[in-house]
Amino acid sequence: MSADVQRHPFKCLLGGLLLGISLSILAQAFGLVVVASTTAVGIIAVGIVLGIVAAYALPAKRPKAAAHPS
Amino acid sequence: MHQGRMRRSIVAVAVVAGATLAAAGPAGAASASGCSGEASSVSSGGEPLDQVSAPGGGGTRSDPFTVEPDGPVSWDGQSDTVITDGRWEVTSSLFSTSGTFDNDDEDQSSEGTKKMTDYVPALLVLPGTYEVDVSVTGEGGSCAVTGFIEVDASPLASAWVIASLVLLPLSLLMLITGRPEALGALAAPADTPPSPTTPPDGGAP
Repeated sequence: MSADVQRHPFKCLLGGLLLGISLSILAQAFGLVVVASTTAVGIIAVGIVLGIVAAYALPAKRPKAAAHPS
Repeated sequence: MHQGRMRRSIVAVAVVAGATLAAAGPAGAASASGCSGEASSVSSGGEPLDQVSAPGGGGTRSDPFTVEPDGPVSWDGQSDTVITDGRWEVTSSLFSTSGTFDNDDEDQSSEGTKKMTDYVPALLVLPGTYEVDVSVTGEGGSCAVTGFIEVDASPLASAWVIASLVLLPLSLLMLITGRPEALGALAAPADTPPSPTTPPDGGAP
């Protein structure tokens, strides 16, 4: 089996960053936390870590098997 | 009292501060040094909402001073000393603003009424509880107030919340589709040479 893996680090990091920003805003708006700047940075950092995990730590998706002509 | 000049000078500081946040902070566990004051908020419909005093009660994390974006906040404050030729600053995670003043009349007290929407468009107000720091420094002394305010508004009326509700599923989708992909693990080689024993036309005579 080939060991070649295609990764999407930019896509994952951007997704994690957006996830952190949106979660920190929603947490503030719905009164879940009192967001100080340090708290917001912390939530965003968690999102970025999730992005890194998604890009480098998750097992690779297998490509779909090509249909075999019978 | 010289209202006109006050609003332009040091007192303008307090105006901004007291308007929504400043006066809100100085209470109970909230800290206030070099000055004192009171503030009261009114709902956008004109009903009394909350009040706070420094030193006094309210304006803490557990009991924040409640304001509505469109509701006026009336305040009055006094500094312990005459402060002239200085700078004022209001900082919070919602917004920050600052300015300078001269206070040529050497006033030690001021009062006023302001609304949050005088400084932040209603669409950009993010509801929730905020810590607010207000500081005034200048010749003759300084004043610092730290407290908490609660912005009482519908979350769904905020552009920030709407944008976040759109971004949240989008970001999750990016994380899911951004997973690594194995290349060619099961795919057949693209350029497989034809077998030398089988002619391209199938070997028909």
